Amino acid sequence: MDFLFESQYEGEKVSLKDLMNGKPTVLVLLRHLG
Amino acid sequence: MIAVVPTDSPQIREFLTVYGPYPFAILGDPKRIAYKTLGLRHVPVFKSLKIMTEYLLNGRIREIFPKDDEQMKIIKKAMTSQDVYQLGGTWLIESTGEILWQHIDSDPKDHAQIQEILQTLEKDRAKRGDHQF
Repeated sequence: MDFLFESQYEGEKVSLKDLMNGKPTVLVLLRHLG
Repeated sequence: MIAVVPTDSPQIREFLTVYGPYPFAILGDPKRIAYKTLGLRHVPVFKSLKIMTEYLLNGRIREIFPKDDEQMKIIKKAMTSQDVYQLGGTWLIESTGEILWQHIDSDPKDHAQIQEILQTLEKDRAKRGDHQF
């Protein structure tokens, strides 16, 4: 399972796999911002 | 921990300027690819209206709309540009990519319970060794 997400910096994309960096992770998909 | 919101870089940056910083990454999925792939739900319109009415009648509207002008600007923008009927969810993902546990929210008040997440982590640690989340 992998996804590409946008960071706060325009044009910068980060993959879930890279973010996990080989470690177990809690992933929370929020319903909206705020 | 990684938090994902259904919006783009500029809105995340504005949000972090007013509400941040946070001790975890906040990332955007503006096309909601992960939301769709992972089977997240939407709250029916009538249920959403019922919940909003309850907040209004119980004097809890400040829990949705902040008093601070800058915060209010962020919330207004989010509410008018994002799908307010979208629901969320939580996953525990092993380093191999295996999903250990998940909670798909069934309504706006339904969220993963921290205690349940911690118990799942403890069980996994005991089973596999001493990974740190």
